[in-house]
Amino acid sequence: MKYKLLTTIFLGILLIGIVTSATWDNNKESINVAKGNKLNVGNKQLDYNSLWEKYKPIEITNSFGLGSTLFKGAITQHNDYCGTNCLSKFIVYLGEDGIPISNLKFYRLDEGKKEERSIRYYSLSYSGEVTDYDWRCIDTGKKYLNGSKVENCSSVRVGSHIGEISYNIGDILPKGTYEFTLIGEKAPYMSIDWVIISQGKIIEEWATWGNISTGSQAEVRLLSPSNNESAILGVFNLTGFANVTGGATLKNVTLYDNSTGTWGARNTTNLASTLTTLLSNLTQVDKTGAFQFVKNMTLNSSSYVTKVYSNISADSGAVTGMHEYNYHNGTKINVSSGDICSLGVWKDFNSTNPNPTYLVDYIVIYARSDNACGTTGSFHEKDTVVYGNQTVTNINISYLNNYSSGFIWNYLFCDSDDSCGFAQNNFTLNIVNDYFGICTETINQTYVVLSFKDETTSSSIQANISSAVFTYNVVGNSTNYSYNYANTTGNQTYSFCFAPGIKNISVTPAVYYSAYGYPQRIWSPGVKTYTNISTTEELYLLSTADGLDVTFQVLDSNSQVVSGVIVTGTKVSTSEVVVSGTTDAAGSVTFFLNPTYLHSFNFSKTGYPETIFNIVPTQSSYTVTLASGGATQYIYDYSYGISQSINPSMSTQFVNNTTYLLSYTLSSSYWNITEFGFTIYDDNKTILAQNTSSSNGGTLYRNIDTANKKRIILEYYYITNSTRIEGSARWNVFNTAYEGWSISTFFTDLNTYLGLGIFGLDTFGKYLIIFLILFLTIGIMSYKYGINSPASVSLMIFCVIFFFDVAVGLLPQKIGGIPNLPTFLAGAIAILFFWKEATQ
Amino acid sequence: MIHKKGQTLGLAILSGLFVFMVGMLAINFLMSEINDFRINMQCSSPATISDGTKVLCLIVDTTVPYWILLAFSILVGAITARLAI
Repeated sequence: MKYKLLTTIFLGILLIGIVTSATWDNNKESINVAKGNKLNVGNKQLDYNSLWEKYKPIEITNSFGLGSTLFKGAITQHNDYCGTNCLSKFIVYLGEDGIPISNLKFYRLDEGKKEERSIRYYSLSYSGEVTDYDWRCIDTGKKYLNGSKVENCSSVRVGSHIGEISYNIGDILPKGTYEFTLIGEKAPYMSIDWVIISQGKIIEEWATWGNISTGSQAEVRLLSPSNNESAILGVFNLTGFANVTGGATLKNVTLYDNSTGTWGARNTTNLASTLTTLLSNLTQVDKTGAFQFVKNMTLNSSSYVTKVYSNISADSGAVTGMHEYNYHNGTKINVSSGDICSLGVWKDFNSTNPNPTYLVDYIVIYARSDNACGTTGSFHEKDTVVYGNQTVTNINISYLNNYSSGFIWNYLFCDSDDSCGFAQNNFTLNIVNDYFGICTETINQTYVVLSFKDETTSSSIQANISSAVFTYNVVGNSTNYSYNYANTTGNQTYSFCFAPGIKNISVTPAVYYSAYGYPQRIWSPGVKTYTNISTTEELYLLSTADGLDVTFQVLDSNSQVVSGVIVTGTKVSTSEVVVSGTTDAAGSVTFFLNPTYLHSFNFSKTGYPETIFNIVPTQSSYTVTLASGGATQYIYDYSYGISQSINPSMSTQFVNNTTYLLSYTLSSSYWNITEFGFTIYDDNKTILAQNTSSSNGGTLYRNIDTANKKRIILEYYYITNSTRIEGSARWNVFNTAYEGWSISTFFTDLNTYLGLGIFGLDTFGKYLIIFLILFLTIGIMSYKYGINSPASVSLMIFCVIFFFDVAVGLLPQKIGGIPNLPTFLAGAIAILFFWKEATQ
Repeated sequence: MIHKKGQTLGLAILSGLFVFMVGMLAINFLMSEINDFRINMQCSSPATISDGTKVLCLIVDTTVPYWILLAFSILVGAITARLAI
């Protein structure tokens, strides 16, 4: 038995070390100190402190270590209410070598619960003996080759002083009494309870930094577009604003909306990272012998530096730990120093020459890569602190066409205290979808630009759009919209946009445009497809002096008019589409065209083959017949560039039994002539002579004896592009055997003599005589025979005019291209009078 | 019994036709003279003759028509006046 007891005692002695090193058996107790009494903490005797009524001193003992004190501490200084400058001091007696503070936590209390949170900044240090070293060198008596001395240098302890030593959580300190200083920066509206852990015990009794303000610090406002504003579907700039105070900085902003059908986050912008990107242009300059950063950036005059951290002393550059500088509107204020190995870098400021005239938006904190103090070595960017107001702009959101009715939106700003807040009210944005029109500030995705040019000179001109109708639809969507536009002030270009600028559209334009000195033209090219890649449509105008109106009438194979045919006219020499239009109900469309150039007109309509009509538009009207089917139909103007003449002219009077030299001259400046020639017939279709040539133009001759033939006919032709173009000329042969006794001879001679100006008579005189004859004839008939009814008089007038016009040819044979116009007019008037009398 | 007025009309027609036919036959005699005149007066070359010559040419040109008109007038006048020559 005695051996068992001895064994137990022996093992118990062995377990003493284990038990005393464990923490589970430690005991924490609060110490009540009566008012006026002193408290001994280690080798220090503390006077009574009223703080102990709220935050009692704590003692931790080891129960199995026979109650020896491991930790004893009391708060000596504390801010019950603080914001960015919180301070607590406490004295700790450490009964054994070990860790006085194994952990430090912060809990937020102002939200009705206790929740562990980070605060903006804290530092923990203790006062202690700081060893002073000096860098000393001893002359070795040797010299380098260049003559300089060889010295042996080293740091030499020269003494010590009491100073602040940074304490890293978990550092082991020797047994003794220490005065700790805890500095913190938090949101002023937060109430933070800091808690340390020592000897395995959580000392929850200590202590709370209360809030000095209430409510959220951030003021969030939505700026634009304003509430209930309407916008074109596309990319929106939703602008918000947040102002944070109390030293907080903005961290990020998130856009919320219901565009997807449910309310949710759409886009988050990390403000700090954005600013870090901006700082990429930082330049590192060595001004103090170690490091100094100067950055160039745009300053915000409404903001100011609130705090800068640096481990460089104010002016010397010596390493003395963290110094905190406060700047307010350029005024520098030195405050307490700490021992934080971080470095503040700021715009146009340096430690030796702060420039108070500049204000900054933000500060970047740098730290040594090994997290140690010092001014040498490599550094990395540790944090970016944003100061002042932040306005969030250019958060672009693209909405596709399934979001067409609008949405509500708001911004959620979060600051560096992880406090987030929306603007008080959501904004509503109404969306206008699928809009085509003249470009504006808001509708600015250009789809098509109308540019106006002089057709002759190709120079730009200012044109009016008297009216324009754009019928359009989104490609793939059959819903048609219409946009009307007019502008009479005149512009060289007109830009038309579509919103949203992400779709392709089909547009059927009908634009009526003109300019001063330029007749109106129509641009109606049919359906055009445009995208958000701007297309320039050049519209041409022709000056009044350079053109004429040409009407095209389009018929089908049954000679019925065809409406709705899209006609585009291209000037062949320049390949410019100069006109376009659509045939009306009469199957006609009129263009103002230059009659000296070859044009190619394209006629197209569903159900008919495309027809290409190439002409020089010298006539006032053309008829184009569309084929009923088949391939593209080409119609060429084979007279373009062709010059041909017949000699003698057809007005020459041939006489019988006479030999005439007939010639046919052909030249071509455009078409290639493969053959040309002529055949001469008499009135019985008997061939009298022929001549042909395969050259590209020239003159062909043949002599013809008229004999007693009544008529000579010359049929000529030329072949180009495998097409035979024919024409004819004819001459009547006057048989002199019957000359000299007909009334025709009289009038022929009279006409000839008048034409040569007999007795000075000119054409006017001839017509005056005819008028006098007409006047006297009618007058005599009326006077002598009492013929005075309008119908009878008009009939007599018709007869006299018919005689002079048709019978003897003394009146102009064509007026305005119409033969015997006076006779027709007189006849029409006579018929009207007869009709009137018959109906009375 | 033949009606007197009808006999007079028939005679007038016959007389008129006779005069017209004689007049038409006489044209052949006039034609050669007119041709000679026109050739001699160069009526077909108006650029080389005077205005007076042109007037003469025009007057001669009307000879045959007037001759025919005269014969036709006698015919019609005889019929309408019911005169017997």
